[in-house]
Amino acid sequence: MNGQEEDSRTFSSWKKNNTTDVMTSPDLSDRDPDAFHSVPESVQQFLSYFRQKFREGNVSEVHTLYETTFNRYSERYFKTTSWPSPEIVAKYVDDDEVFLLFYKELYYRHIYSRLVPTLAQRLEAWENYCELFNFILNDGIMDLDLPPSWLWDITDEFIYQFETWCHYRSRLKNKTEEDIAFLKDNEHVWNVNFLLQYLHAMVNKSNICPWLLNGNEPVGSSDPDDEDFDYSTIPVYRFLGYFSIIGLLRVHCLLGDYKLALMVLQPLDFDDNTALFTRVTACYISLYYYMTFAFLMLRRYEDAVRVLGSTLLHIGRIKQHHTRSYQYEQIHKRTDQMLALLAISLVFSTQHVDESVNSMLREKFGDKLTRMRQGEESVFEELFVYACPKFVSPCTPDYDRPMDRHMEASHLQTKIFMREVGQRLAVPEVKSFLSLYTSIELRKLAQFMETSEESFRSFLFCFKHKTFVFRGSSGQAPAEGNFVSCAPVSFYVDNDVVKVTDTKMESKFGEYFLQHIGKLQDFIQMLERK
Amino acid sequence: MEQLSFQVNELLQSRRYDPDILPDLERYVEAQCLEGAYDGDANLACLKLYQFYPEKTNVSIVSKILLKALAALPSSDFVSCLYLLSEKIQREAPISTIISWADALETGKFVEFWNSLHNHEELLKGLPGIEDAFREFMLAVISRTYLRIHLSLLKKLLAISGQDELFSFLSKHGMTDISDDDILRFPSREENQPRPKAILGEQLPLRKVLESLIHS
Repeated sequence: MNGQEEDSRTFSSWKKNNTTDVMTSPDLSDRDPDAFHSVPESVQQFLSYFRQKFREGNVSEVHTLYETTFNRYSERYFKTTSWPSPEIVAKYVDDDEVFLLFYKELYYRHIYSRLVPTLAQRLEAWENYCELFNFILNDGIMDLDLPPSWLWDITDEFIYQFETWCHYRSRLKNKTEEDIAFLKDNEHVWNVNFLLQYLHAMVNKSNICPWLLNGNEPVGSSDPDDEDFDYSTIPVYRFLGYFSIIGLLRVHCLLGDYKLALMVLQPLDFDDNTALFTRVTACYISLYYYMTFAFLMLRRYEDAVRVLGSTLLHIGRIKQHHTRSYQYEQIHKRTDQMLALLAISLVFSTQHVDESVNSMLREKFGDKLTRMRQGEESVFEELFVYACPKFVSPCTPDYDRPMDRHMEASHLQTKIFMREVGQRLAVPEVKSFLSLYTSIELRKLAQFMETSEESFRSFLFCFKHKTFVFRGSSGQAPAEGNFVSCAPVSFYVDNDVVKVTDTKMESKFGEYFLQHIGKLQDFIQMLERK
Repeated sequence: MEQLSFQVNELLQSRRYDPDILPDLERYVEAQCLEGAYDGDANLACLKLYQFYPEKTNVSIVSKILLKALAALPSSDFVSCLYLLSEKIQREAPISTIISWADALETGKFVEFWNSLHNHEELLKGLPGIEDAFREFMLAVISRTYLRIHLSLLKKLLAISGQDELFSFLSKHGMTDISDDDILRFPSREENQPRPKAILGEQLPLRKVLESLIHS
C-alpha cells in the first residue's frame, strides 16, 4: 500500500514539472496543414463508429475494429503517411478526450511502424503515454472494457519506443546541434526511471500480485465504494497489471539484469492453462522469449532447453491461427530467434528435445549446430547476435562527444556471453577425449593432449565446475532451482588415474521412423490414386 | 547487520531506482565484507544504480561487490554483475584484475589464481576470510573431480602451506579420511564414483509400429 502512495506522489509532482517543460520547449509542431482536407469519408465513419463501440464497451466488436479494420485502413490509406492527427480526428469523435488518448497512442504507434518518427514525435508519443498512464492510474478507465490484445500492445509498444529512444539518442554523429541541445534539456523524456515507475505503478495499482497468489481470485471487494475495493476485479486493470509484469521482465533483460528479470515472474503460475499470458499470443511469446533468454545468460542451459522445447512445440500448434494476423511476421521472427537460442543451449546441455522441434532445428540451424558442437566460436556469436534482444544503455550518452554508441550495450552483452562460451567449450573437448578411455594415468592423458599435467588438471576442474549447474523444474518459479551435476561423461580421478564411465545416451530414432512410415504411406496412396 | 539488512530490503521494496539510497546500499556492502555475510540481490541493485547514474560509481565498492560475488561461485552472481558494468569500468584496474581472477577460477587454474592474488593483496583489504571462501569453492570442485588426492597436491591447489592448517581446514568440511602415505579420500558422492553404464535408450514395441501402419 505504501509503495503505491509513494508512486502516485512521484507521478503528480513529475507531471507538474513536465508541463512546464513542454511549455518552454521550442515549437515542435510539424503537421501538414493539408491533412485537414484529406480524411477520406470512410475513415471518418470508421473513427466515429470505433469510438462509439469503444464507449459502449463492446469488447468483441472493438477487438475486430482494433485488430482488423484499423490495420486494413492503415494498409489502404496510410501506408506511407500518418493517420490524421488527433486534433483533426477530434471532430469526428465528439471531442471524446478519453478515446483520443487511446487514438493518439495508435497514431504514434503507426508512425513508429511505418515511418521514421521525428524527435518531436518521439517526445509527443512519450507525453501521450504519460497522460494515458496517469489517467489510468487515476481511476480513469474504471468503466471501460478493452480487448486484452490492445492492452498488451500498449504495454509492449511503450517499452519498444523506450528501446528505440535509447538507440536514437546514442547515435549522435548525424544530429544537429539543436537536436543535441534539446536532448540535453529533456532528460526526463523516455527516462528509464520513469518507465520502470510506470510499470511498477501499474502492477501495484492493479493488485495483480495478490490476485495471482490467491489462485486467480481477487482478495478484496468488487464494489468501488467498499473500503477494501480491489482493482483486480476490473479486467482492464487486471490485464494491464499482468502485462506490466511481463513488460518488467523485458525491460530488465534489455538492461542486462537477468536475475531481477526472473524474480519479477515470481507470482506467475506457469502450469495454469488459462493463465492470462495465454490470452494474447504476442504476450505468450514475449514471456517465453525473454525468460529463456535470461536462462541462457544465467548459464541455465538445461532450463533453457526444457522450456524452449515445450514453447516451440506450442507455438508450432498455434501458429496456423495467425497466418493472416499482422503479428504473423513477428511471431515468425521470434520463433526463429528462439530456435537459435535452443541451438546454442543444446550444445551445453545433456538433454534431447521432441522430434518435431528437432526437425525444425535441423532444417533451420542443422549446419550451425554441428559447427558449434565442433567448437567454432564464431558461429555462437553469429547466432547470439541474431537471437538476442536489442539491449539498451539506460544512462545519458556523453553529448559532448558526438559518436554513435548505440551498439555499446549489445557489444558488452555479446562479449560477456562469448567469454562464457570460450570457457565452456572445454566441456565437449574433455568429453570427446575422455570417452576414448576407461582408465588412464593423468600424466599420460596430458601428454596425449600435448599439455602439462597441471594445465590438464585445470581442464578437468573446469569441466566439473561447468557441468555443475543450477537447474529449476516446471513446478518451480523461474528464479528457483538447485545445483546438480549434468555431465555428458562421468569420470573421477583416483590419485593419479582417471577413471571414466561413459554413460551413453542413445539417440531416439523410433519417433523418426514412425513419422517416415506415415510419410511413405501417404506417398504410396498418392501414387495409387494417380 | 540484521537491522541493516532489513532496512536495505525495505528500501529496495519502495525505492529501488532512487539514487539517494546508494549510501545505504554501499554501507551494506562494506558490512557484508567485514562480517562475512552475503546479499547478492542487494549488491546487484547497487550496481544497477551505478548503471543508471554512472557518475555515482564508486570503484572500490564495485571491486568489493565483485569479490563477494566471486566467492559465491558456483552461483552465477559474478557474471550477473559483469552484465551491468560498462566496458570502460571492466577495463580499468583493479576491476580488470578481478575479472582475470574469475577467469582463472572458472577454468580451474587454481595455482595461477593464487599467484595473481598474492600479487594484489591490497584488494582483499576489508574482506576478512574471503580467501577461505575461495578455498571452499575449490575444495568443492576438487572433491567432485577426485576420489583420492595426495596432500602435497591439495596444498598447492588450495595455497595452504602448513600441514596443521590444512588438516583443520579439511576437518571443518568433514574430510578426515587420510591414509599414512598422505592421501586424502573424499567422502563419496555421485560425481566421484563409478556409475553404472546406464543406457537410456528407448523401446519401440512392434505394437506401436503396427498401430501407425494400420492408421495411415
